[in-house]
Amino acid sequence: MRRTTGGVWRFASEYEPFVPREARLTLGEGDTPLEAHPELAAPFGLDRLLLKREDQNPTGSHKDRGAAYVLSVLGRTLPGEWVVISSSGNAAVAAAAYAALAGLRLAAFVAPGTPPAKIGAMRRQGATVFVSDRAVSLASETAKAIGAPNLRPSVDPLAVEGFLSLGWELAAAEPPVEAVFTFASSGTSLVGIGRAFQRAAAVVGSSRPPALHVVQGAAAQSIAGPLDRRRTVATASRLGAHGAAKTRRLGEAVRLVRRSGGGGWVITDDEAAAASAHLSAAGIAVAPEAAAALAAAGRAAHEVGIRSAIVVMTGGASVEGEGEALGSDASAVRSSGSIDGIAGCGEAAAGPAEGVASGVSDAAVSAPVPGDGGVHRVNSVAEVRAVLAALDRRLGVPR
Amino acid sequence: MDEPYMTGLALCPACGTEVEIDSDAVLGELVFCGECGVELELIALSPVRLALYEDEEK
Repeated sequence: MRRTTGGVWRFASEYEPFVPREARLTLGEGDTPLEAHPELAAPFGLDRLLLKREDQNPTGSHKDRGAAYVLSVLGRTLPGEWVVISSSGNAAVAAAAYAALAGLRLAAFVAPGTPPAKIGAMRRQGATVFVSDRAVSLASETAKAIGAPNLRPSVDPLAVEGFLSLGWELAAAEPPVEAVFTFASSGTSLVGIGRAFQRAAAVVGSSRPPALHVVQGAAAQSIAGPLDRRRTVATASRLGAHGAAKTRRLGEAVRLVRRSGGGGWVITDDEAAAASAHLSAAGIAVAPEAAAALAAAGRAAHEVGIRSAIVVMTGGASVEGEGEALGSDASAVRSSGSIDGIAGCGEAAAGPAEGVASGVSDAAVSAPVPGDGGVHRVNSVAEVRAVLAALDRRLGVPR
Repeated sequence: MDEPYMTGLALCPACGTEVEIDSDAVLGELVFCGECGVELELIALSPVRLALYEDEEK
């Protein structure tokens, strides 16, 4: 598939705050392929099915759109400073890539059980990773303590802006479709798409953007649940399990979906797996959440007669890690508060590890990236600050 | 049934100020008290009730 030029910055004049050209970061995100798949349309009861391949963004998910914008703003105003994020995966991986590009240093807080491959992807971009049972609140406390921006999408006021580009690309699809289906975790990208649809006539000349449909798993269905006619009992579902059960974007997300004429769809693990099998047969490997969105389009075709749809493939299939998740391997995560726990700093830069590491652990990384701050098991802000201070000293950053 | 609050108004549990809730509010939605600034969760719609919001750790 060919990438067109422009990407998220094609709409630079529409973003608030405005980012001047010289400050705009890009790795080629946005303007992702919109593929027609007639072989998938029929099994899901649709006449026309298009897949929006957000998995083909630079770090493999639509999060790159948000990160490109946010880190462009922050790189311009906070050069060389720390930024903080708590994320189960894609948001942190995207933030790490664009923070590195911006010359910012990322402290990423993750829960135990985060796939080693995700942590490896963050570290290859130079992020410092903190593993904690209370990653979300510790990230928030750390951000306040050190005066750093918290990039967690559900709380970052800048987080929505980059996703407007996705909404305008969807609205501009020709010929138009009836509906767009997208999986939501915090609802940040959903709100971006919905806000973009409201301005689609002015920005891309689309007077009737598609109806916006939100998809979630049973474990975290705060947005889709109230909108779904079917009641799906919250279970220990794996789909979207790392997402937030509560989100600050709930009210706006639901209102945008309703105003667009869309609906909500809670998808079970089995429904997502069935859709994933169809996608695999078509040679498309994407995350379970993306498959769930396709399953939702199928439900909508059957239950309310939708005939044409765009399904957003929000992310690619994760690289499966070998062995245990990092948090459960004590030897792989060094203790906090110790200079010895800072892997990679000061060592000869052998260059980034090739490919995407599977089963990567702290001990297994033999080719640390320059600036890689290592992985640290922490329980308090004091422990975090000790690590950050040691990294500052290592890099000669005055504090 | 007694309706202690008008539809669309609820008391902030932190300071007691009346908080106006949009007619299309969503159960679970978060709002801020305009008086004390605390973040609140809409925990009931009929009648409208608010509780202090606690960010869940996942």
